[in-house]
Amino acid sequence: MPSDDSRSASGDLLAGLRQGDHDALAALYRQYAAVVYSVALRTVRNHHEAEDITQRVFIGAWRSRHTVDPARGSAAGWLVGITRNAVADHVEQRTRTARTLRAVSAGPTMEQHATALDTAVTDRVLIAQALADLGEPRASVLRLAFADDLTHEQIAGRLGLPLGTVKSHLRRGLLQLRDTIKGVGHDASQ
Amino acid sequence: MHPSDDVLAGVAIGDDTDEAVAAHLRTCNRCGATLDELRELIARVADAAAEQLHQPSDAVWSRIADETGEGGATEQGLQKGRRDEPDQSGASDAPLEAAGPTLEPAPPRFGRTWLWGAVAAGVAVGVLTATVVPQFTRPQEVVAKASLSTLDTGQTQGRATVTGQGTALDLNLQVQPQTAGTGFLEVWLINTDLKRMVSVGVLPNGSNAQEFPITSTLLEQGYVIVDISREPFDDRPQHSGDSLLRGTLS
Repeated sequence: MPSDDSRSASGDLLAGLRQGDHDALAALYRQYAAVVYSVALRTVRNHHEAEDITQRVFIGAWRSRHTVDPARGSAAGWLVGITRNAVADHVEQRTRTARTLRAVSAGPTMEQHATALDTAVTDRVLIAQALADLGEPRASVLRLAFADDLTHEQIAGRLGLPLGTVKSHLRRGLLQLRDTIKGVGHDASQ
Repeated sequence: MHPSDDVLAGVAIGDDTDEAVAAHLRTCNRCGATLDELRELIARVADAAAEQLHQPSDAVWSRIADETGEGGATEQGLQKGRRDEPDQSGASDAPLEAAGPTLEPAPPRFGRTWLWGAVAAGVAVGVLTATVVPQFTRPQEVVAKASLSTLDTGQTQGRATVTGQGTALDLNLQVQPQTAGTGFLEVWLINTDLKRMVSVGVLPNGSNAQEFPITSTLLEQGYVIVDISREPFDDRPQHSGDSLLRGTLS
């Protein structure tokens, strides 16, 4: 769910989690389950496996809650770090199983494929989530301007908003996104 | 003096730039770097905008709550008592790119021209997601629920829950405040035949939660698509075609 100050909200969640507050885990799940699951799904392309990974990520987050330091980074960055590891473990295990079964190891391994995919995927999913969290009509204004290359006048006409409002959504939305994403590169684990 | 971030953001989005600002930008490395960062972010947004976010099924949270203990959350997580539903996230073992928009539950044959096509003055119709947001605090008995998504971008912006027992039920909406513009926000239940609909009431402008009385008969007859529309003050009681949020109760 969107919040005006996602970074401090994220810090509160991590602080709560660190103290063993189970509601903080539930809140983290509500906020980031879609990010974790979507990253996993993009990589393993199987919804059962992606759900297993999602489950492992949040259970792992709960078990390693003592290592969290809200001052060091964002909840999203931390969870994405855990997700990356969980996906890598999963893929490695799958590759090993496949090798054992077929007793061949020709061609590029899934592992290499997954690692190459990973950074771009997490980046896209995190930005998509941050964009969605801007709320409407701001998110649509940004999408139409940046992805669909509509002029500001076209967007104003299409959404029935004054031109000045469109521009103000774009400026503020862009700065909001920058602030949200800033913390994400840093993992909050100690 | 350095221009504010707001001014730099204006430059980044291609607004007309004040000559003094332009002159400053030619010489100031710091502001140049901020501008580069914002422009790069625009490119990243362009790249990410089409990325679909998917919700895992409710069972995932139930298992997490089980594994991590703490009775309260576990009970609430499981309390919904819903059976596993078919995956509605568009995800499957098939490559994700192949998962096209789905309109559920009725076959997409009826004239979407006015119902969907006219939406938001031509914004492309996106995936109608009916994924269910996990609920953790829900004391009443939940009969049905839906997540409500924008039609243009498929973004979840609220949820609808039907609670109660017997024939008198309540439709509870929790939504991000929607803008009614110069009109007002009306809540509808649309039939799965996509032809019949009933108005259940008006959502106050800027409101994020509202309850509407409905009957179980409506749901039994197939009026299960919750729709919030923007209506002009035009004395025409029918749906304007300008739907903001929608979701299917299940």
